[in-house]
Amino acid sequence: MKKIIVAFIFIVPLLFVACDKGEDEVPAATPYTLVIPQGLPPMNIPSNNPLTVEGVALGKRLFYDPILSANNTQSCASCHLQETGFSETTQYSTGIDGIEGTRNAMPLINLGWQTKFFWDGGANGLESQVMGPITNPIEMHETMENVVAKLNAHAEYPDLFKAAFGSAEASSQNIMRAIAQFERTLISGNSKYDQYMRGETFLSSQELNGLSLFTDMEKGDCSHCHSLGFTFSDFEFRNTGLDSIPVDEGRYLITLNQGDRGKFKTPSLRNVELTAPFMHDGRFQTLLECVQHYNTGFRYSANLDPNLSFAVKGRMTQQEMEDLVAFMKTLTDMEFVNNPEFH
Amino acid sequence: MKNFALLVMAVCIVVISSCRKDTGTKCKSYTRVTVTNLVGAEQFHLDSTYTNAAGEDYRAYMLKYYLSHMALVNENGERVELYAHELIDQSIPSSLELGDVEIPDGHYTALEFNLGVDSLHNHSGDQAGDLDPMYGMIWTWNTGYIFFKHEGNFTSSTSGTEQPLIYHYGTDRALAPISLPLNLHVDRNASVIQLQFDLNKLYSNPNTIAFTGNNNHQSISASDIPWINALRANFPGAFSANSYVFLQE
Repeated sequence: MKKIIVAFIFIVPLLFVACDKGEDEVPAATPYTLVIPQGLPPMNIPSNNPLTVEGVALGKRLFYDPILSANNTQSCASCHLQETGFSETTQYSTGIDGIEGTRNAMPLINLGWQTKFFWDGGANGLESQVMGPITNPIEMHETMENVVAKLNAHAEYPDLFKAAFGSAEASSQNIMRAIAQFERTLISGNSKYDQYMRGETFLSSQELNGLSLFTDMEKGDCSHCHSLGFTFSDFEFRNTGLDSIPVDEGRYLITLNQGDRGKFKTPSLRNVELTAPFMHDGRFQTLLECVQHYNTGFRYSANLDPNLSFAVKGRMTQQEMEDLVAFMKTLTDMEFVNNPEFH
Repeated sequence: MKNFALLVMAVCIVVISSCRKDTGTKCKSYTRVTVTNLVGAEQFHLDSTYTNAAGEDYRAYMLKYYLSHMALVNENGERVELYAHELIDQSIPSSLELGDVEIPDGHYTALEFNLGVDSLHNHSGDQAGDLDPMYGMIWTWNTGYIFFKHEGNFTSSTSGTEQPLIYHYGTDRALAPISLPLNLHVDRNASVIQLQFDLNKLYSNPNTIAFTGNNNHQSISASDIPWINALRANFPGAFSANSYVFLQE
């Protein structure tokens, strides 16, 4: 009997709620016009998170705001500095508790053309990626619940959320969406290489030689993975022979597939001159060291990428390696690192 | 209290009758699901001590899990989805009372749902409602929901000392589809479906899961897979359902 009474108490409200109607009137945010440089393909933007002027501005503010970390001392920008292509010059980044990570901070360039994030691809979208650094105990060590509470208690953020998303309530979803919107605007497409491709400038003979080595399958063979043209990456996961027995198991940690041991995401080479140190663990300081690794240094294992398994060690001369580096430096886009819209 | 309840009943009947008169059509049938966590025959409480089938005393300070795509199935095998994703959290009483849902009249013979989040929704944190990452039921470095979370302590059967227990169960392979028999006949009336989850059955039926030496699982390493498989096989038997109908005319 008691259960029946309790049930009635539940049922009564629903009879009244049934007719309840009405949604908040939301002034639409202003669509953001994304300028895609000539030569880059259209960007795939999730239909549920279109870019808006207000959303991008909110995302930028959040990106630079240490409020996202537990003790309000670190922002995204603490480890992703614009002057180095939104990467960091130290091998590892140090979180709010003084603990050093185990992977090098990835540059944030042309993210809108990528589908998986982190070195191991553990995040399946730019929106989902946002939670990672915020909640990682050795990074910003905060909870989404606290971030939401702090932003809702803030003097200015509720208005910014309202302008961007129509609701003055910050939510984890809208935090993720705003930061992802800002990150999609971080487009680099005006390097010397881009200008050359558009017929606006010339490459030196050394740079041109580097370009030809870049695609030469008997020499650099870089473009297999660092696709020539727009993204300079296929964004696949590959074992590049850094170790025979990988210390960091990389992609395997996500998929638990044996074949993914020691595989990491191919990073884009755009602005690579500025994003040292290199590799997932920041082991190389210079581009020449990287090229030397692919020329002679790579180590064999079952998971070594087939392109390297078949590559002849020592196939490039010192001069050729230097020419390759000269070409890689044509991917530097000073307009990107100085763009006032990004800071 | 009793008088108040009678008054509530009376109001209900009046409201329902007037509804029929106004519309000239059938009144709707509504149902709601309530969830009760149990240990054996007892109601489960956080921080109380229980004994599992392996003879270990244990307590939980956190018990949360996702139920997804809960649906009623009628005698013709047709499904009526009641809820998309529901986070059950023992510390939040309102999470144990799922909302009212309008259902077609009919005879329902099963309640179906998944323990966990289906693969279409399991790989993005960009979601609201009960899938909001704010609830801490998501792995943020390897996007995926924690389907079931039991955190607490237990007494080790080897050392006799109290040790922490951390069970974070998830990943696509862990999704457990569950179908429970039901005998629910609705014809313009309200009903309640009582869903019960027995934590001790989860750790015993059919696979006995002892906590000693097996007390930290996060579902993210290969060594967790046998534990995932054992729990996945146990989840269906840990749930049971029965239903009550009100205001039959």
